[in-house]
Amino acid sequence: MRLAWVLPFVLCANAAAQQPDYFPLHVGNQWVYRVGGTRPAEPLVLSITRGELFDGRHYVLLEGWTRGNFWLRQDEKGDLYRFNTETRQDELWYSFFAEPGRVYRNQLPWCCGQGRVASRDAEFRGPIGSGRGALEVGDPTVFQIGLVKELFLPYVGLVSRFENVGGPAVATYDLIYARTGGVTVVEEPQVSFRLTLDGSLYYSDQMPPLDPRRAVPQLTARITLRNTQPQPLRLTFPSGQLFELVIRNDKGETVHTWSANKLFPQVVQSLEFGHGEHSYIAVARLGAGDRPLPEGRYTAEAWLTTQGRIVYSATAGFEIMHVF
Amino acid sequence: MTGASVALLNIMRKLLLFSFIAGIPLAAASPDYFPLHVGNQWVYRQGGAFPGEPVVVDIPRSEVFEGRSYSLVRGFGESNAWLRMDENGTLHAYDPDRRQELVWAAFATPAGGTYRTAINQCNNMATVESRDAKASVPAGEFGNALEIRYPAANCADAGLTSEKYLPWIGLVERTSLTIAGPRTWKLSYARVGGVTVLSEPEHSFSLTLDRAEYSDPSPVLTGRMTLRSTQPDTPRELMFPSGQRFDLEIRNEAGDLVFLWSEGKFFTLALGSERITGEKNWVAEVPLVRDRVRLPAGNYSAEGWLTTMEGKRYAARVGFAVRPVR
Repeated sequence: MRLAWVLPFVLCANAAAQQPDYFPLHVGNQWVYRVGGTRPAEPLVLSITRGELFDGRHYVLLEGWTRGNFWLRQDEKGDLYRFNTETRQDELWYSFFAEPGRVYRNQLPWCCGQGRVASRDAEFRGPIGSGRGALEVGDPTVFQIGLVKELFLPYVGLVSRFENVGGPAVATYDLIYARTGGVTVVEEPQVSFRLTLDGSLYYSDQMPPLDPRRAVPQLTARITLRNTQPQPLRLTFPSGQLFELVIRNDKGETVHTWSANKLFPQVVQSLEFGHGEHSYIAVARLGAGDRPLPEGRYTAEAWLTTQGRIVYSATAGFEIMHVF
Repeated sequence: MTGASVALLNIMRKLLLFSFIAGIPLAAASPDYFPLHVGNQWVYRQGGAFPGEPVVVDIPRSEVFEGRSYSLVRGFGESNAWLRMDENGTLHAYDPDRRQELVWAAFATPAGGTYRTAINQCNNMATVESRDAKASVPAGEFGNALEIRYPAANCADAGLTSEKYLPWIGLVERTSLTIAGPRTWKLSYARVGGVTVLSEPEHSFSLTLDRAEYSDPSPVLTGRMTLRSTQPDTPRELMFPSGQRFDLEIRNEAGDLVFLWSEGKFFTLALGSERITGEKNWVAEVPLVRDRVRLPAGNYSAEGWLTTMEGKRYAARVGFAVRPVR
């Protein structure tokens, strides 16, 4: 499964580094959890949105927990602290490198004041994959309320949580998506469609003498169908054209159609989209000759030109600005 | 996004990547300069006097020839290639017509060493110029690239001049000769091994469904909308007319609306804004039932969009199917 790819990175990094990072705190990190248990709830989206200095130390803001936002830092031993802005004190959340079995005091806001590393090589099984090598942490004193078990993967973070939430009620959190460090993405099997532009703001250089290459900006769009389901997707196209891209102004008028100057064989074709990503690139000049499109707000919409209704499409907004 | 936060993000991207890349050689025998997992994908921007459109290189499948597994690499050369990496870090190409295997790249060659290559019909020798070269491409700046030089050989004004490969990423830069002068490929995007994603600054919107087919008795669809904006000087400030941030609808094959996420929900009637720096995700779970009855088997589409003041500036649609209960 997918995790088979994660773990070689993780395990090798373990071998080389002094200690793995069980709670990556890079600004921009994102984690999405499916919430289940006795009372299923809406999915949870956690993100690290910014950093700030408090009392000479750098903390990052973790947003998304229903109990509030938290300023976090890790010290050189790998202990994770929350900075309490009212008391201006560090509060220990996790001591990831405590000796397995040793109980330590913590101040997690989820109850109940104690933590213990149960294993550094725990088995993990969840939506994003399965394997060994997880760090298992729990509170040995939990009865009816509190964290029973949490699993962390190095360089990914929290992947699973099992929590008693009163009486026989439990809550579970299972990671279904994470983007950490900007370049590492783990996610459950999926099918997705994405439109990626190489900019959100395109400049037209109007400084005379006009140079068409600088006066008319060029937009490059990447259109991506991603399928990591066990079964391939089979799509039928009524011609040799596989995708389309149109650009519309803020009145909804079409100002550019990618296929307008192209010919395609009139042959019906059925294509299989197997495991992984399938991308198409469309380049659009945002103007004609040396005349750019007017300043303003536009949208680019791309879709797969499958037979029948459009079922894979995406739209992204952008702006054009003229500079002198 | 501010310049500082972009710089921080870039540094962290590099740090994390290098923590992997630097860590692996210590543990593994040799770094992988051409990852051949099915599903890998690389996008290159072309440069030169007459640059063409960006090039997409991908690996759609693998196959066994004469007892060895090869990956089909599309877009890398003039034709598709079946490639495998041996245990010594040598990249081989298999010709199914001739049933012959040829060396494309001997990545373990020490700096200054040479090897014979069949990577391009206009080149027959290659020299490893450096194992610690710098590479500056749209997808990032790297300091541990393997640089290969190709001396001119069989052709005039054609053939490869140089290449740079990054461990666990693959080719990041290539220069070749054409009749119109040098042409370059520079990596702008890569998704390798399923989990490592490198990209130039980008602005994207996507909808991700957890499945393409739902066949359980009480199916629930999870839809994730992702707005990603990593442009250095243009943070996205989105304005919303209420507390609602997104909506998601499901339509059947005839185009009829069968579900609207916001129906029956209430939102604060106050203007709101979101500043997008990096990535933001919104997730909706949708029971595929209507009036307490499971949706009929058939093809559907889910569309998710951000409910900004300006309407559907960010939207995406993905098809799925409801199957009979298994």
